[in-house]
Amino acid sequence: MTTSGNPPKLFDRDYYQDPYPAFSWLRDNAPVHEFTFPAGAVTMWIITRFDDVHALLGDQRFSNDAAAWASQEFKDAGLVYAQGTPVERILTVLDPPDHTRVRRLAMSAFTPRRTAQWEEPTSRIVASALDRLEKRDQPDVMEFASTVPAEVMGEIMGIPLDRFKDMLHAIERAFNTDPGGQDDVTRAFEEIGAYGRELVAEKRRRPGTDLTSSLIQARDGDDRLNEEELVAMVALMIMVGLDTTRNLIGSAALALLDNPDQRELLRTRPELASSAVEEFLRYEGALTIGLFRFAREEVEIGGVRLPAGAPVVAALQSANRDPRRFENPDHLDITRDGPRHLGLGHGLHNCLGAALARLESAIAVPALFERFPRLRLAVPRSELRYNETWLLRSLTSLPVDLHGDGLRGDGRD
Amino acid sequence: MRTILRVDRRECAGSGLCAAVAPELFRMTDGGFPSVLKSELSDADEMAEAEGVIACCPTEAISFVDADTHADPDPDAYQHAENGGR
Repeated sequence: MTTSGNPPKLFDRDYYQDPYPAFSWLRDNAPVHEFTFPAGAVTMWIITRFDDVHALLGDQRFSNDAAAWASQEFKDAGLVYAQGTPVERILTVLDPPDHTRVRRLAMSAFTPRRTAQWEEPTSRIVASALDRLEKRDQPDVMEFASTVPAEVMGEIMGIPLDRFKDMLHAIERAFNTDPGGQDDVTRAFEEIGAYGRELVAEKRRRPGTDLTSSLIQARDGDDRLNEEELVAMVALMIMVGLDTTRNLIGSAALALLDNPDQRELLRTRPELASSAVEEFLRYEGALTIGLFRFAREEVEIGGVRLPAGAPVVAALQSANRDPRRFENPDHLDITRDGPRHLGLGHGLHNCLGAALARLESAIAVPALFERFPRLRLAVPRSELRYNETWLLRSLTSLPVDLHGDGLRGDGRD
Repeated sequence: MRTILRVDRRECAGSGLCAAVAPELFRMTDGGFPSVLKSELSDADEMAEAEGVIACCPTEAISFVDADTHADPDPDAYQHAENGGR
């Protein structure tokens, strides 16, 4: 346990590549820690222990709605998500009763029961994505990991998401912390919103039995959604449906490459797929931290007073690695059946697509290693990089040698 | 028919959405699952609130059931189990 020294730097280059040393220091020394967020130099607090993060996510004295509750400093810095773009009022920032009205329109498409019907299409999509991966000169697991959720979401939404690569790029830009990059953040949200608008227009011309059509029906037929909410919802499905599951599948593949014993265990006991996915969500979930929460009133957490409007960061991956909650937390153990993780969040804004994310990962990850039993990294481990976004834990690429016939002859090892 | 609001423990994943949306109807227990604070609803607003929670629950664990056919032999059993038998 580290018990001294200065607080670690957050949201800098080292943190993005490996946030766990910083999280460990904060949990031990400053579990409710005030810091300055690089974009806009805004004062925030980061919460790192499991119990505190869990309580925060279920605490209705906090809201995700920056426009309504954030400090003036936060608003003045232009950090209110997607402000002035078609995606500013996404479900993720709504409070009840609007939250309830909008979420229920989409929830029925993502319950475990409804999601089970996507098992066969997902298996087919995974098999075809593996065929394509095999034909690549320089196979990249992240490409496979992004293809699968894009194609599954395309089927659920009823529209092939041809532009999913542009969207993934836009999502990465939307969550960068570069102090000079905030205009590009807005542009990125605009691009995502514009794509949502396009999909809605396309689907109005050709309605079907898909999720997009049912959302359009809720707008045009029953007036349970306004036009902005409709576009925001379709755009949100693209944002959360593509990127998060990609990250999870990619990080899970790396975790198994790093832990050959666990890889072998999953191969010999495929029935462990579900518990393995829970462990992947805990060990390296798709989001490093949650979206900012804002105190609606003055609140005290762990002896620290937060003023009304305080932006608070729920460090999900820190909570998931908290030794106060999980035994041997930095160890990957796909047979773990202990306490629940926060890899899919908690409370009002817990992951809407949880069942789908679980289904996709439980099929894609074992299938990758089953198809390519000798799969291994094609670059030295130290060359792997994570994207520098404050929200997401995503590998930039995961180059592999599918058949384990040796590193490519580029002299890099 | 008299209906009561119920959480099916076999389906519940402890997401905490119900207690966040309707804290007057649900409370998360130390065991990580919700307990129903008020199962017999007559007020129209409370009924609507419950309907919203039922529709939003990520695992479809919450429902209105017929009080007579789904009578729990031990109404406290759920609560006891959630408190870890304490």
